[in-house]
Amino acid sequence: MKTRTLRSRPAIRYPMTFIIPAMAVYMIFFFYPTVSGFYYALTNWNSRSTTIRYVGFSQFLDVLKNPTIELAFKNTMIYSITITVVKNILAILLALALNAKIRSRNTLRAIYFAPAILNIVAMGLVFQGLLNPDFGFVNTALRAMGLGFMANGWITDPKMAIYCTAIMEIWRATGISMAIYLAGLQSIPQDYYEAATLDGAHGWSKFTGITLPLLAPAVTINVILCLIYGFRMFEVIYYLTGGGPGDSSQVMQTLAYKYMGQGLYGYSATINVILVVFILVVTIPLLSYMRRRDSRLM
Amino acid sequence: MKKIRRQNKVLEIVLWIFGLLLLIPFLLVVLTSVKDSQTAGLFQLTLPKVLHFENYKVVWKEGQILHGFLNSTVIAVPMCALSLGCSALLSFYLARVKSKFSRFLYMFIVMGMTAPLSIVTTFQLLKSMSLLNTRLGVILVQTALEIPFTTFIMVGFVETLPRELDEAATLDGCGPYRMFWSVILPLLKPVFVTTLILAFLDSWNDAQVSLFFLSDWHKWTMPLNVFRFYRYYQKEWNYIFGSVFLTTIPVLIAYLFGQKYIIDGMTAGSVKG
Repeated sequence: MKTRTLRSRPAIRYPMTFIIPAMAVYMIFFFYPTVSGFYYALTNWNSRSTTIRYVGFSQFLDVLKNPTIELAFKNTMIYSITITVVKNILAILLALALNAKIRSRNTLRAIYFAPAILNIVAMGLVFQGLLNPDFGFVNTALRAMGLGFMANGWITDPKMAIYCTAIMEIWRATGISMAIYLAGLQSIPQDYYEAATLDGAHGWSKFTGITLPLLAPAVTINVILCLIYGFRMFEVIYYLTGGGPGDSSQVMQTLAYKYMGQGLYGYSATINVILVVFILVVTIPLLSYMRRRDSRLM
Repeated sequence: MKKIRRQNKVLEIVLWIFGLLLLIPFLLVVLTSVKDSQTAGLFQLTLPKVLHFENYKVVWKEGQILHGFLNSTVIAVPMCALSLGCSALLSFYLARVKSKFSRFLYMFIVMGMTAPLSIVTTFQLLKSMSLLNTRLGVILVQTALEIPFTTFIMVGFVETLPRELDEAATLDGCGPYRMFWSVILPLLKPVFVTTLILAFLDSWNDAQVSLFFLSDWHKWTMPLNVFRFYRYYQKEWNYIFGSVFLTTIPVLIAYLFGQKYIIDGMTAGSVKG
């Protein structure tokens, strides 16, 4: 063995060809459509006229004045904020409970995670059965328990419909948030708790002094993920209420799809652009926080 | 100590009660699917007097279950291969090269997790490439949406592999491609399992990309077939829930075998360290 070759570090090559396949697919099928939306949002592109004419920002003004879009934006906010708050509270409680020394905890974790693996079309149909105003399981059960006053139109009630979609998402995806919190809890070293016990700390002060601060990164990630998935959700709304009754539970993405179906392509692109910009404005500060945390770990 | 053990026992019982409540919808689906159409529409958690297993004959035939299964398979399998292959190559570069460009690229890709699918412009793009209404088009769009997440998880994993491996491989005379193929790739197995399952679920359960860009129902995947079946049978909830049940069986089986990896995978990807 020649020691010389071991000492001098060999030049390792990482050619750019490694990034080509992924970048090609990503640029063509994701980045290009997203960015070209910004151009089409400034045109009158539709199925009726043969030429695409530049109309400037007038379409944005149209969109901002359109009451249906205003409603869809409001619904998108209601939906995302509701699911973010409820999913996270439930998920932290579940993760804390399922991190305790319980005999059947692996089975229980699997059960709580199970709804997340089903397709949303099937789930939408199941929830139509649960929330049917006349014969639905929920209303029937409420009446049987003497809580008939709580029975209501659910998905057929214009005021309730968007909350029903949130309920379905909470049922479906709380398990995912729970899994992320469980990982956060498991990464907290046990010695911290032992040291705290020696110092005479009790359950609650251990929770607020150790668990909660060290769980903060998991909270950030969960909140970002829930918000983003909420802002851009299409399937839950489309397959449970179809945006109805009327347009009462439309969100941005379902409305963009509806306008595309009506041939209003420029309009649809504008809604999409507004959503992209909105998400970026909300998540860039949060993402840069995540990156800082990553570089600290590296 | 004894007190804690008793507390945990109570906690366990409470968790089981809520867990079983969570499963009521599953039970409702199974029970309803073997009822006659009248009682099915009442959505009750009761066992019917007569079990109408013959419902499944109608569902199997009219619901295009086998056809949907095959359609889902020919989309999900290439999609997984493509997403994992592309992401693995990219992640290796991003994890090893520490330049400004590499860091920018990482952020650029990860940002893809945030943006919504741009429906109308993607439609136009696929149309201009003659990929509209083709399985290849759906596979490529799904892959483009999957790459950010898969890459995010894989970069974190590759960074834990010691750099000395690359040095040793280079000393042994490996070029970059041999090094990737015979040294790095075998070590990526754990992260492959995780990302494979997540990509598979994303593609298999997708009812968005395929709804937008696949208008020919002969090519429809299992979730969309359930939707078509529902619109056709409107009020026959025994049939509808029968098709819901048959559609979920493949994922349920996959979940029973892979649930450890799925939950571990979700956690591994989201919280590093």
